[in-house]
Amino acid sequence: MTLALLDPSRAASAGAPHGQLATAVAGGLRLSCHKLVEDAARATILLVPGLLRLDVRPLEDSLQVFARALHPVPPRWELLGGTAGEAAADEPYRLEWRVDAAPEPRPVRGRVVVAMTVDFDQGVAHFVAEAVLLEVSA
Amino acid sequence: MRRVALTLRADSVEDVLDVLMPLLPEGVYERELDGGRAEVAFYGDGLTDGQLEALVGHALLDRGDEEVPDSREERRRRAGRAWTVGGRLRVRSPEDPPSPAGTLEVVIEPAPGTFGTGAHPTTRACLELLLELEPEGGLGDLGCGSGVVAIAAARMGWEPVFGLDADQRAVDSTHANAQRNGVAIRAVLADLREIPPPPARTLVANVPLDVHERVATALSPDTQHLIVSGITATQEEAAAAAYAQAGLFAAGRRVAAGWAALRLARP
Repeated sequence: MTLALLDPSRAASAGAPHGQLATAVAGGLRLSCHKLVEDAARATILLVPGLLRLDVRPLEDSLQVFARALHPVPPRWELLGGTAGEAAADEPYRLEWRVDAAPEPRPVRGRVVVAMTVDFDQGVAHFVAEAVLLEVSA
Repeated sequence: MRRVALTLRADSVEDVLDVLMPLLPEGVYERELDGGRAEVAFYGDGLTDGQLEALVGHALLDRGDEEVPDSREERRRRAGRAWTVGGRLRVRSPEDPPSPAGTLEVVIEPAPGTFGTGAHPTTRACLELLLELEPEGGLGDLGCGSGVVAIAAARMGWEPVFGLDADQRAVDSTHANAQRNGVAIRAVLADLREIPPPPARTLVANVPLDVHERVATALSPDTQHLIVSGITATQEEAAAAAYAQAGLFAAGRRVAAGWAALRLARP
């Protein structure tokens, strides 16, 4: 039985105002979300109630990411890599993390990807985020 | 459109955002205030007064509501707003009220696509470190964006002041803002990956690490002071090493929101 924290209906309901899609996969949860965020605004791009929230803030030609723990034992984030574009570059920012969380009774491991493309003239950035969170078998 | 600004204790912001963020898909605008306070603002009518009071009333120190024009450009202007550096320098948009007479002030109208509205931690760090120096001789602002650093330098007494940027919109914006502030700045279109920096006594470089590494190989021996910004905390060591090869060493430092800035000097 999948952890309640990885219940897709909870994540879908909580993330609905953000346009977050949450579906079940074997042993876990898959999330997807995209949105436009105005320059200097901090907005939520992924939300797993009771576990974590990922906020992003595009600021001029840079990106700030806020990984907020919603669980008493904060998930551990490890940056796996990515590209950090600059103002003149055509490449979007793309960052990928591994996430390890330790809810009871079984730990969770996942992968999170965020991509950002900025329209400087409009002062807005488009974000795409995906995550897969799976229970770790004993 | 309604703009709601909540004044909170700075150490309660994240707890308040845990409550608000799920309900505000368009996000919030944060800024530090003095006295250990912070402002969290948002636009729209997504939350009623009753909801706000019930959700975060316990943490509120103050609250302001105002009607603002329903335009993204207006929201961009207001996101930056006025801010003070080192208690001596105030940066504001043309829409903000003027500073009291005698205040060292820079008025910046950010042009679309140009860096340096003043909202970014790297810009603030540049200005904080610039305030640590005594103005003497010329100054070059590398990656001048909207011109905020160059204009502040001219106001503080550096002369002549040059601005360089690889984006023509930034060059135009620097000229327009210099005129708005009544200072003389010569801004030119230049790619520092292709040409050496100007041989100014003081340089301020708010540029990516690869540009710093290029600048470090082409520095004039006349450059005595260099403010390094635009790098993350994890890139600080690489930038410092590159400039150490050019004979410049750390004399000041700022770290904020994952960004690092260094003030370097020749021993």
